[in-house]
Amino acid sequence: MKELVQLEQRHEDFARRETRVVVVSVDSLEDAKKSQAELPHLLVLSDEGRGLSDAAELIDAQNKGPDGRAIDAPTTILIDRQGKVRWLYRPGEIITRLSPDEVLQAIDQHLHARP
Amino acid sequence: MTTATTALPHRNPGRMFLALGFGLAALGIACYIAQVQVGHLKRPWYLPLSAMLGVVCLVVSLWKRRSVWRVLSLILLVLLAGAEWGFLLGSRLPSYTGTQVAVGKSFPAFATVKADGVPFTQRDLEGDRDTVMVFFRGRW
Repeated sequence: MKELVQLEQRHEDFARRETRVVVVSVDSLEDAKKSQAELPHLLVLSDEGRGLSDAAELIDAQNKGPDGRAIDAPTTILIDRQGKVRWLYRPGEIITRLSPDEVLQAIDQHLHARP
Repeated sequence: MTTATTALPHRNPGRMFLALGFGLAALGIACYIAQVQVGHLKRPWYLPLSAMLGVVCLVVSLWKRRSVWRVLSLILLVLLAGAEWGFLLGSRLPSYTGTQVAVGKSFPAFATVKADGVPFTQRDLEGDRDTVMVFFRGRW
């Protein structure tokens, strides 16, 4: 969650780039509501049914949640306003995350640099 | 009148290395806690390395003077260094091998819900804004 708080704190930088931040986990609707209340400038999705995670093939079988079910591997994807994927990043370790500056840099490089 | 000075034998040889060994191991842990606290979520290679340096110091300490406590201290730091390497190497993530999400391709069709229960699909990704989609492990 710490990385999400950092993204929330930089929401104005994302808004300036006409980019919204959508955060996804397999949390229940109830937990997603709590996250949404804490992160008002991000859009929180509750993918408890794994409709999104399965479609994107992001569930990591080695990574189990408290209920013993596999959960999402930390991954960041940039999608342009036509719905096309522009960049995908997965850290080398589960303890590594992109900083907001690195995400903003990726936006500038992969979304705003297009002709 | 001259004063003769004679060096006294060190009462506890290698004690400095003993303290240094534990200090280095503790410093690595303290640095990692501080790193997480400030939100710098990167690979802490220094963590097992500091414990291994601590092990080296304890070996020197043991070489200077053998005692049961020093042997136990060395075993403790070796276990700590092993646990820290396990933590670091065990947290490795496989790279993305899926075929559905690829640069230049449309994001695959999906159906999920927002926190308020309203449906959210791939069509909602199109519009007047770009999207950063961050998958995280959840609140737990």
